Amino acid sequence: MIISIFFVLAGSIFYTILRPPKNTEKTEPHILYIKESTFVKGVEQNG
Amino acid sequence: MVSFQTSFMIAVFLLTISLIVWKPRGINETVPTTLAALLVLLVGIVPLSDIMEIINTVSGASITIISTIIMSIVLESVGFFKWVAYNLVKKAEGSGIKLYFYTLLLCYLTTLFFNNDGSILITTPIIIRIIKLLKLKPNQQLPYLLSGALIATAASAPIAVSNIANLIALKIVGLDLNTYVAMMFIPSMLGILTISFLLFIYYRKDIPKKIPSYSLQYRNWNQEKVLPEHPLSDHSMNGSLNIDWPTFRLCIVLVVLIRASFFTLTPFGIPLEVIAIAGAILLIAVRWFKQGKGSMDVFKKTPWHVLLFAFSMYVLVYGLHNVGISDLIVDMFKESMISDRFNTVMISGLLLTVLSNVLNNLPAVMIGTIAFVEMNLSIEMLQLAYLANILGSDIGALISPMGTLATLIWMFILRKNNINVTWGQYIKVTILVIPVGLFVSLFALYFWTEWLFF
Repeated sequence: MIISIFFVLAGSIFYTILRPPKNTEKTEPHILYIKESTFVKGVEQNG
Repeated sequence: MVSFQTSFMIAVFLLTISLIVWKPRGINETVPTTLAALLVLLVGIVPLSDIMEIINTVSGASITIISTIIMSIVLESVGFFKWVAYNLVKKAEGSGIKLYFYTLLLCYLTTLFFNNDGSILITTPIIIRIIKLLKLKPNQQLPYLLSGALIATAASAPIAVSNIANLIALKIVGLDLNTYVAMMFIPSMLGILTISFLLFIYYRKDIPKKIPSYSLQYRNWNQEKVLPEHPLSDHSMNGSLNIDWPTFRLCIVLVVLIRASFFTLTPFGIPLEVIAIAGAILLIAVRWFKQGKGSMDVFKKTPWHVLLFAFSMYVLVYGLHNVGISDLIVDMFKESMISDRFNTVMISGLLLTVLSNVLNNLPAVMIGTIAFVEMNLSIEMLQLAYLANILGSDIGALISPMGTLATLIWMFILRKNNINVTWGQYIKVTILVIPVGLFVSLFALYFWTEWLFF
């Protein structure tokens, strides 16, 4: 019983780590697009 | 005077282990192990009459692990792991420290729900993706890569089903899964938490305080291809992310239920491997029902050679046993172990740590378990020795990359991605961190079992 509760808790945490970003949930199939120039700029600024 | 058979067996075994570590031309570890096992059978060190017993010992554990790997392949194909790198960076909210702990959590949970070697195969490319996305400097990369690998491997100790060696030894000593967890979960978790804490202290100056946060935009799936692929992924889906939410949710619920059912159904006499096979078939069926995909891709990607590897390795261990190596262990340690539980825990844990770091933990845990059975210990002493054995082979084995197959796979993946981590760099960290974690878990095992069970 305790182990089942543990797995449910662990599964919930695993789910939050794995789930796609919220704003893709109710839309059509998407592709994640990273705005490369903005991202690289951010890296350079932050070291 | 050492007999020819003994020298021959030791030479064949050491050569096999060297080839597994060296991997000349990238050969699969099953090749040298199988050739060596054939040689040992031909020479007669392991008689053919023992084959059925060996198959009986390793088959259940191997089938369970293969089924778990099949589950992870199915889940990957429905997009389970595609978002993780981005999710972790996003959830870290610009903090390198948060990202560090999220990474450890991911590695721990992946091992908990699958197995240690599978976890390394799944999480290492994800961590590489993260450090490449963030363009971390080499000294900033190692904390994430090494800590992730260590936690992913050590995380196979708490519940027994995440490691093939644990499962094979479990069968030999006749311990059930629920008793294993009751006795082992707390001690091994204390060890894992200690290791996580010490790794953080060790790397606190290298972990970047701030990491860049980035903006995300979404495009229709048939537009530009931008996502780097996970090695397990299906290339026909390259770049597109059809998020099938009902399937995604159903699959994660099933994974949790299948894992929990290992513990709730085995007390009713249902073999572990039957539950594991049923779980794998169920996930393939769900994918077929929801997405119309057959099982051929899963069949092709499954590392079936694991079955042969486990069998061959056990033939070699049986060979070592037959030429008297386990008797040597019995003669050296029986007296000290037979009467005192504290000695039993410490000797088993430390012996397995040494053996695993020299020979690799899969054969080490098999040799150790066979030797403990030969000692004619009482059942409670035998089970205690086995549990300490597991702590030595899952946690103590992490001192050198040689210790576990998972760390050898990890180094191989890093090399393929042009990330060079030397054995020296690895051991410099683990020699400080792992022994402390090991002693914490061994002491905890002794006190926990004294308090609750004896």
